[in-house]
Amino acid sequence: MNASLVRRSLVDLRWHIAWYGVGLAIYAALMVLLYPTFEEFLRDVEYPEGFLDFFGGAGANLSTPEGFITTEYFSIAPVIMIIYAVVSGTGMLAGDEGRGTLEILLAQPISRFRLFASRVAALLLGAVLIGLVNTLGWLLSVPFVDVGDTLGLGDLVFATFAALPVVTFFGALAMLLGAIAPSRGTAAGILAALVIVTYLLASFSQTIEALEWTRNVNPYWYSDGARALTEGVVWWHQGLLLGGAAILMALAAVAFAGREIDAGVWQPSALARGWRLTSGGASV
Amino acid sequence: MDALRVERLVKHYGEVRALRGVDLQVAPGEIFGFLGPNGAGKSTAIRIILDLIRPTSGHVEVMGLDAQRQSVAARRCLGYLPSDPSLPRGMTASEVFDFYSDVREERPDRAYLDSLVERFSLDTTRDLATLSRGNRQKVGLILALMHRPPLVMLDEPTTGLDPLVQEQVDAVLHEVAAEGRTVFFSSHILAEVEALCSRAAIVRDGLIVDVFDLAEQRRLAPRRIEVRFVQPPPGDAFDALPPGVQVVERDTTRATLEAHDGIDGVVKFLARYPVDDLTVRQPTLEELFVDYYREEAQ
Repeated sequence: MNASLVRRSLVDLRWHIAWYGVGLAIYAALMVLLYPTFEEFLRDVEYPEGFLDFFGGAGANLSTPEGFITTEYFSIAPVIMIIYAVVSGTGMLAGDEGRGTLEILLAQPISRFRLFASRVAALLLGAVLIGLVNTLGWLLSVPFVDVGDTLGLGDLVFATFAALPVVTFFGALAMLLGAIAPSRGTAAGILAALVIVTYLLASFSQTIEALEWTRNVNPYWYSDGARALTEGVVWWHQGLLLGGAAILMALAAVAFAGREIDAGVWQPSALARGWRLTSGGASV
Repeated sequence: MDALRVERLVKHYGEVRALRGVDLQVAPGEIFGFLGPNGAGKSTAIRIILDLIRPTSGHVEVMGLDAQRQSVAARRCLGYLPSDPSLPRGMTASEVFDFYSDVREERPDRAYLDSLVERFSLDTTRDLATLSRGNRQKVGLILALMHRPPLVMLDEPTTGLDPLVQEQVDAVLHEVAAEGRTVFFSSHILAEVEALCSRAAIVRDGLIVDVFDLAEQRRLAPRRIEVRFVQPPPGDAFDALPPGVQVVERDTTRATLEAHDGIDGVVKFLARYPVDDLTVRQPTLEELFVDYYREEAQ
């Protein structure tokens, strides 16, 4: 890793971090502040079967604070964090390549692995910073609202950061696709479609029995982000996501090592080329 | 040890043969020109030397280091200016110099860096986004030079520079060569290569078709002599031209001659007649280059 590169990447990400963080913080605070207004009304509402399940609040009661925040906030917030990971993850190297700045950078005596590691560190630090800014939303709302005894500030902060494993997973996928796709646009487009599909499948699989099997292969399902407040997280789900992310990151690093810069074509062979170079002892 | 050694370099992009077996040796202290029209393979060769892309086959050494297997060490010996340098956004030139020094983990010689900034008349306090193309080119040039690398690779370095700065760039590159360091100068501007380089290679369709020693080329090249007589010389006067001299063009009072073995015989021949004006010049590299391509095309 190179501290200067990490710092510079974070500076490049500053507006992403600020807008995603502030947006989520405002969204979080609004939901908390709105809860007392809806509490009584929601207590008497009969929801159609499966409605709450679709929004991730399986078994949740919308009139309880955790049920309300889960359905209104945590069913969406992890997706927004994942969008950050996709946009920034593809922008980290593929975006630099598209802008032409990667050429001078790679002409310097720094290995592609170090450059890659520095960018990954910045991407993950950015996600943590978004989580911290997001936490301000809880800090500025929860103390001023009666959310009962069952929901504490710590629970909300925990649920916020419970999205990090799935964000890391999609960030790793973005880095991998960015290393083999012809351009950042192509990689981001494919991943945006994948995020939508995984989100919808995770939601529909709670109400449509025929889709239940998709949970096994759906990374979004394993995120537990929408269930963190009501059911807690399943630790092996988080482990699976982090393990998957580690494998994808390793593949992305090897593919980036083998990538032909500015070739403008799909490069599935970058993986084999990168492997050949690194396993042969080359200082790529 | 060569500063740069390229052996049988081949690069295919699918069906496209971008390089078809390039061989090059560049010695330390040389200013080496790399000439060729757009699409000839110049940039592909440079990008392989920098390990940005990988060759289909062949071998590249930079200062004796394998450009692929010892890529990082090889790049530590290199300073590079791409043909259209794209630099990070939202930084001043001064910040860019610091940033790349941090990336290299190598501090530049501050006095040398300051002298380059002064000679190229660069304002290092302005955001790069507000700089003209020429000023961004200056930033790229200083980046390539400031760590005093043993091999400086420049791809179309004078694009967008005004003549005064171009003059300074030429002077700086001569100083680099005088220090025993090497300049690899890719360009399609032949006059620039001619003025600056000691040797030059011509690339065509992915092959090096010739390597000129420019000093030798200048010495051996035929001279063009344009003469205007006061009165028309006799019709058979040119039959007495010395060997190795040809008439290229002639009318009543004017003649253009080409001397292949020096101009002494021509001067003695012309002394027989009253001469109003006389010009002796070498063909430019451009004329040689165009002739070369014309011959190849034929």
